Amino acid sequence: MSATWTPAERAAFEARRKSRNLALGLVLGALVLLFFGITVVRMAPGLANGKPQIGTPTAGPSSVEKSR
Amino acid sequence: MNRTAAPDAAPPETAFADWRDYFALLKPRVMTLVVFTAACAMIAAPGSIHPFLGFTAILCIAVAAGAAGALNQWYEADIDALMKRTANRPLPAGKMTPFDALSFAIALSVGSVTIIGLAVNWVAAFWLAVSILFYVVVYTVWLKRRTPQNIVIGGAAGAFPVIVGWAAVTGDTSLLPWLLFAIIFLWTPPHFWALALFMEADYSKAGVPMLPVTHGLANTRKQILGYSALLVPVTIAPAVLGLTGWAYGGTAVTLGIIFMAMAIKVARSTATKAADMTAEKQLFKFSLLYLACLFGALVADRLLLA
Repeated sequence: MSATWTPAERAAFEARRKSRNLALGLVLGALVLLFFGITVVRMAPGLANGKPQIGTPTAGPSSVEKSR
Repeated sequence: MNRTAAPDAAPPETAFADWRDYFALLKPRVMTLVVFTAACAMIAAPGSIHPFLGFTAILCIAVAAGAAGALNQWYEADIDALMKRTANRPLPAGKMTPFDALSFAIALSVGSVTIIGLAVNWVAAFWLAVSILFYVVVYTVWLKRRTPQNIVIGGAAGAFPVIVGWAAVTGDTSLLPWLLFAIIFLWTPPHFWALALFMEADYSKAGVPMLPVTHGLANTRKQILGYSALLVPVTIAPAVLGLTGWAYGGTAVTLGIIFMAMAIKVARSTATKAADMTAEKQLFKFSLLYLACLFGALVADRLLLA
């Protein structure tokens, strides 16, 4: 490899840096979606570990109305 | 750092890594087997898990396996450079710096264990952390270069994902997942030694004490037969103990007979040149199909029983 950047080397470097940055952006976006999905599932009423709990009534609009 | 090199400075080789090199660091082909066995264990486990959390668990298991593979490549870059099969990996090829590879691997390891712990449960996270540490510390750093039984120990590292998959669903581990663990553990030596027999020259060149290099071809063939003889009864044990139905049991018996026949053929082989090792190549290829069919049968059995 030469002592300084040739135009071809610079173009190759920039193309690969762009692909790395694009991949990192996609991974970060996917992580945001993953955390959002996990939060929704984990915080859903009546679910523990995402599984329905037998004998635990699901808190919904009807149960709220009854308690009034 | 290569990314902030002065505009006119000579570009280091490591400035040219792109996302494919980072992906290659994860050993994607190994990840396939890990994902498959873990997913089968999750389906076979009693109980259920929300599909999104199941997906998260599988993702974390795959990423952790990849991270362990990356740590392995970081540590073994020197011997990878000596073997034809591994010389083109990103580190020996000089496409990225060891520091970049190590940072990437540690971030993925910590991230995958934390996410599975927070999203699924901490029992699964514990076994996932154990699987990474076992592969990196016990296998890669401690035993791989010291003992010809390295593959046997490495087999345990590859077997942990079934425990993680099972724990993700049930929150604990019982006898069946440990039998599945034992199946992968005992399957690994015949599988890899069959490969090592016809790749012996490559391992010899790199100085890795693989069994064919240290104990010769005949001894390796005997040990393949010995481990196969241990493997087959263990594959049948879940059906005998009533943990699965006979759909799985019948498959295990049938496949076990074929596997033993192939192992006997290997034990009787006297070939010394890779080109003549037909029996060894057949066993290596069949062993992949064998494991896939066994776990496939386990899933089918569970779905039939359900």
